[in-house]
Amino acid sequence: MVAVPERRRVNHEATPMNRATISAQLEDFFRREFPNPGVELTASTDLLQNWLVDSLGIVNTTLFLESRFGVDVTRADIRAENFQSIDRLTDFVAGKLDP
Amino acid sequence: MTTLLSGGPVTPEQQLENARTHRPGPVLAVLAVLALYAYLFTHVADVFDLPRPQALAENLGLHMDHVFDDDHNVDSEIRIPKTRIFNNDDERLILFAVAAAAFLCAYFLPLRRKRQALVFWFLIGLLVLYGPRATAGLVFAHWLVYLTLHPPSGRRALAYGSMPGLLAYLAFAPSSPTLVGALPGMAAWGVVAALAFRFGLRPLLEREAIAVPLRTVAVQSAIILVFAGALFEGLAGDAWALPIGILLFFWHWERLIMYHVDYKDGLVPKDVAPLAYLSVFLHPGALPNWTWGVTIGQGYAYTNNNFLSEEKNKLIMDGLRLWGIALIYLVFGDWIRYAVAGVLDDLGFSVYAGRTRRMVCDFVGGGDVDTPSVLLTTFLDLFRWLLLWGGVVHFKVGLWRICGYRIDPYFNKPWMATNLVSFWPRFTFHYREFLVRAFYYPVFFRFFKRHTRTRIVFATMASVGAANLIWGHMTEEMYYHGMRFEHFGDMFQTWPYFFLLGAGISLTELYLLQKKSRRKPWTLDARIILDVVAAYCTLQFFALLHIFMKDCRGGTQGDAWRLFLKAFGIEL
Repeated sequence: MVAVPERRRVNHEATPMNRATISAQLEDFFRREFPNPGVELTASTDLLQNWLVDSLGIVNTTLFLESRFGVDVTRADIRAENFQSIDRLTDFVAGKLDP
Repeated sequence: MTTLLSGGPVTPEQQLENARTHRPGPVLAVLAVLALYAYLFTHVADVFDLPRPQALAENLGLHMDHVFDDDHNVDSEIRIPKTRIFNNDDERLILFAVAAAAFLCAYFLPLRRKRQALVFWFLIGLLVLYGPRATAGLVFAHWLVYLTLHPPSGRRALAYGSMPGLLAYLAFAPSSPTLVGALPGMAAWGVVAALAFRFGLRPLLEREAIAVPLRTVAVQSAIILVFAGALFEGLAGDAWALPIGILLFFWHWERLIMYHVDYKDGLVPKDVAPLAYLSVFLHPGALPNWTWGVTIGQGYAYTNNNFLSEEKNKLIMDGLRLWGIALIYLVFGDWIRYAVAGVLDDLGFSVYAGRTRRMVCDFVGGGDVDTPSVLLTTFLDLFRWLLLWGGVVHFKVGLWRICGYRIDPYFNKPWMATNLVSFWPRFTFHYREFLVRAFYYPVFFRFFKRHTRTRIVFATMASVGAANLIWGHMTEEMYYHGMRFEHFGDMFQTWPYFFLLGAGISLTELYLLQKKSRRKPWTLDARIILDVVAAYCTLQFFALLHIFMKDCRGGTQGDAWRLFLKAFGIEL
């Protein structure tokens, strides 16, 4: 599980969030929280097939998205198209930050 | 292992490609394994004048207790519940024959006919095992739900709307000696149903404010009816008896709830055809032990996205692997348990043949049960249950797989779980997904969004505690033992099991939340010994909780707590 700071401590506005930054932070998160030695992780790796273990992995990722990027993730956002890959998650976060 | 979100929609082109290659090897392998199952678990040896399994084993020098039953074939937990027409061996033979026919159709028929063929063979199996009334009752109930979720319009409104009437007549009307004699009644009930749907239900379903609660009532009809029946029994003293077809439908209620979750999430097309709807639920894999592993297949999206999402011969080989593991568990499970119990007895430990209830009853009756006995008996009982459970659900998932569905194993080496959070998906994957999707997520995404820890604990207690008790165990108690008011009390008496399990999982989640080390469990290093200890503690804790589920006549909850605490060396 990710070590999630409470939301009031989040300061994501301090640096502008571009896609590259979001993507890099997501990649770092997945490497750290879901260690998968020997399996390559790229921006297009299918997270649902090979990386996230189960639905609590989704919960864990949600907590990370909310705390790190300050986005509000709803029940309806928990869909394969949003969590399929780091690329998709980056699009999702970027869309939430700049609707 | 993949997730509930796994497998995005698979295209017809991909399915065609995955179904293209016919190979004799996998086909013959499936038929051979089914023949082996039939040989071991049915009377088929007598039919072909072959030596019975016990005689064969003894000729090979294998003398094993607790493997063979009185008729000298292998005693099996694969069974068809509540049939009155056949004995267990004959039921299994019918099941294996249906499985073989369904497999051949799913393998060789054109893509558009494969899933229809699986529905057909499921219904044929049901018809043979339970008769036409039960079969009509099950389809009747599903058809009502279908009409509520996918109301047809135009001419189809009358045609589809008439079906519940026709089916209800077959299922519930007084018996008619011949089909011809039944036709007038069927026609009359069909016309009434068609008109009732077209001019009654259909207009209501066009108004969203009414349609939403109606859909919920249809999907939750099982729990509503059994609870109403139990209350009625408490007030009036008469217990309702459920026709077998309706009982079969009720056991689909968890999957219906998941179908409804998909529906609300927009993952189910509005114009699903009746057969496509039925194919989600009516699969040969749902025939054996239909009260076990009832969430296998989950909802619409999971079933749909995983049909021929991989090359069919690969799916078959995966299914055969599960059947092979199932065979080991089913044949040797009891033999291993009794062997371990014998060794422990010889060492001076009382383990009650690995039966927690026997130990609880001995304790309630004034017996002296010590800490090692509590630990070893509950652990051995869990071990026994894991092997039985694993054998049956592997067989069920294997049957789905050989018929073309890439269904995740329900059971995946739970003894490798190093904490309670990882234990659940390994022990009961699809049920865990049901609890998460239907209860955990709605609570998690709605309440305490600014308080991470409270949010996790609240969502966990709501799903593992409350929903698991009410939608899981209490409803099943009514299905198993009838709609009686006393079952409310019986199940609420078991609250410590749900509370302690929820608390244990919540604390584990909070621990994992702040855990610094990201080492993967079972990595070959010096800390692997901690993995072994953690795995034992996880299993032992879960095993001990079952003390609260094994009531004994004359026992109190205080007795259960005292026995539970004995495991920790605490005497009260």
